[in-house]
Amino acid sequence: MKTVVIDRDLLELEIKPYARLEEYRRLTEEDVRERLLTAGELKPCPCPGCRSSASRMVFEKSGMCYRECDDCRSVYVSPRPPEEALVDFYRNSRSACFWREQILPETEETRREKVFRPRAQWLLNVLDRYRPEARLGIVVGYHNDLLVEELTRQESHLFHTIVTNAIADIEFRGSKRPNVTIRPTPVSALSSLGPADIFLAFDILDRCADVEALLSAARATLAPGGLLLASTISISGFDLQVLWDRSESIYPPERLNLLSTEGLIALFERQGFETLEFSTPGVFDVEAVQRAIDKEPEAPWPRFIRYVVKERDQDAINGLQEYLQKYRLSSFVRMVLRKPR
Amino acid sequence: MKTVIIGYGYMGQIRKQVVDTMPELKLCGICDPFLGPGLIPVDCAHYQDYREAIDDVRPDVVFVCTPNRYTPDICIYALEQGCHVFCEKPPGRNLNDIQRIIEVEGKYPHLKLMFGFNHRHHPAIVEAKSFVDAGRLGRILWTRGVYGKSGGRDREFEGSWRNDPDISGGGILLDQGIHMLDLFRFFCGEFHEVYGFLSTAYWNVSVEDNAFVLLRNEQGQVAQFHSSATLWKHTFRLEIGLERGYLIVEGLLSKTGSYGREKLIIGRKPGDDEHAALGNPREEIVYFDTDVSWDLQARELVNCITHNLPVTDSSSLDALRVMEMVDAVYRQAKVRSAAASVPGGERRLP
Repeated sequence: MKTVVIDRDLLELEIKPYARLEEYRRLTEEDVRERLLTAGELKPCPCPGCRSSASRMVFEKSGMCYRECDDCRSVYVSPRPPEEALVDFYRNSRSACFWREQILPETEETRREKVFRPRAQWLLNVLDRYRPEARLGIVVGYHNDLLVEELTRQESHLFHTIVTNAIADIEFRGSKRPNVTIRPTPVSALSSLGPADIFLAFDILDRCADVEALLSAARATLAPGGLLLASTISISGFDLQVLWDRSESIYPPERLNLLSTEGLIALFERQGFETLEFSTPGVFDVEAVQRAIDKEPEAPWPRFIRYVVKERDQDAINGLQEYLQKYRLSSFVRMVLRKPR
Repeated sequence: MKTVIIGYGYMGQIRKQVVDTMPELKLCGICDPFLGPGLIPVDCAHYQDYREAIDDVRPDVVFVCTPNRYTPDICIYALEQGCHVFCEKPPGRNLNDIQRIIEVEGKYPHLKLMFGFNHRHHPAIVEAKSFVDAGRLGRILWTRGVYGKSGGRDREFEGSWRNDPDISGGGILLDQGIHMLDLFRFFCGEFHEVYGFLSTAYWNVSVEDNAFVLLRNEQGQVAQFHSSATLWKHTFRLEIGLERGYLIVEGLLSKTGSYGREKLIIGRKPGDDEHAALGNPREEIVYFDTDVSWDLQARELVNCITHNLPVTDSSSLDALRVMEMVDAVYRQAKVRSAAASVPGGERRLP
């Protein structure tokens, strides 16, 4: 297994304008209460990481209960809405429209240059290394339009790509790219699109209602030796461990599953995937803690953490973030997994 | 396949661990005349003489893990007895040794012969090779390597067979540096020009404890290498400069971990629109956790045997070519007149 550390000069502010985020969070909370809590369809679930049903409630956000698994320490929402309700939320809620129409366009160029260009570069390197003969890729996550654009820009002989997420028709509206097919497809029908060489599940594991079903579908869709590339937010990461319920990154319905490192490994092992890369190349952990301390200076923060992020210079801050990457302790997780041949 | 390991020192024990994990191989005998009673494995026969081991067990595969002086004779005997052979590096003490082995190999084309250039299979090297082969960073311009160790405790190091020219045939360059030369070939192909300086700078031994090597191939790629037994901090570092970036392999997964965590640094030449990054580009560092090089090599050998495939990785040709490089350095370093002299420096010479 390998892990990757990335030296990147990017501030969270550049891809998440805070002033706008306040409005987005307010809308999201209203939407959750109106659309998801009142739907009456919330169902309890076991830990999405290790499947244990031993858990305890740790906090509540927007009326939804976050539980911590007694075994693998993953944190997850239970009871939770079904996939159909979530799809409706992402298609039609005011907050989702606000995100698509206000925030994404405003940050498009920064995200393209600093997030998706390197991600496309990494993805192509992964293919060079493990699946150079790739012919078909399936994209299941949200907001991948810039990634697909970068991939087609960087690689003239790119594999054929099918974008399947439930709002792909909205995200890719008006966009015509050769070799890219937009076909929103429910998880249960994904396998009919295979056999695929590569399955891209960026920023989807944390927000989908049934992770187990998604990974089963990935396995069924992939050809033997095919690759699953995934990214997610993990509760084992520095900022989420320090901030816990104060973290602005934890909110429903985008963060239903905050799997621990151990939970993620259990999940992928159970589905029979071989882990080729497990990295936490996040760049925002320390910055997020700094911001939280600034916002609530009187809160009972751990003294050492407060000292480091408030009193030490930028070099020490950067060194701490690099340490988190090196030892897989950032909350942003990136994985490369392979279906057995 | 019945398997025998000849030589049960450090390398023999590593090979046994690998053999024990492979269902295709069954360890039936170990030969080492210097084993103390506590070191003899209980799960296979023990022999004092390699001929007796091979004649008695009639193995399919022989692992040769002996000091350099004994390597060629054992390889040759095993081949003549119809065994596939895996031989540790170096393939003998000198060029003549590997040439002898190859001559016999040629008489038995159905047998497989592989050499222990396992560094090619270290994860950071495999990853770096993937970057080079994909071509996204352009062609290789140059390579530079440092590989060295601290020797060890004084008496232990100076008294080691590795520093007895009669047994080893050479010093640190032949013992450890051979891996780096093999990697230069792995990335750049054959080198035709060789320059070298050898020194016995610190240790009281009759072979070199430092070697400085400069090579150039027909594509104009230059490789520079420092092999050393006086690096008090164990070091492995291979740099590859390419048209659109660079790759650095640093550290090496090993049994003791003394070479540091194995990593690959990937740097990309900044674009014209990235003024701030000029001279200090963004880098990615890939860290690796597991050394699978030993397993991969053994599996490759078994694969070649099982499917009757030619050995194309760490073959006798690879061994010959790298021994030619070592031989050239040793020869060149002895011939002072071959190197251009600096006029000012020349005047200071006695």
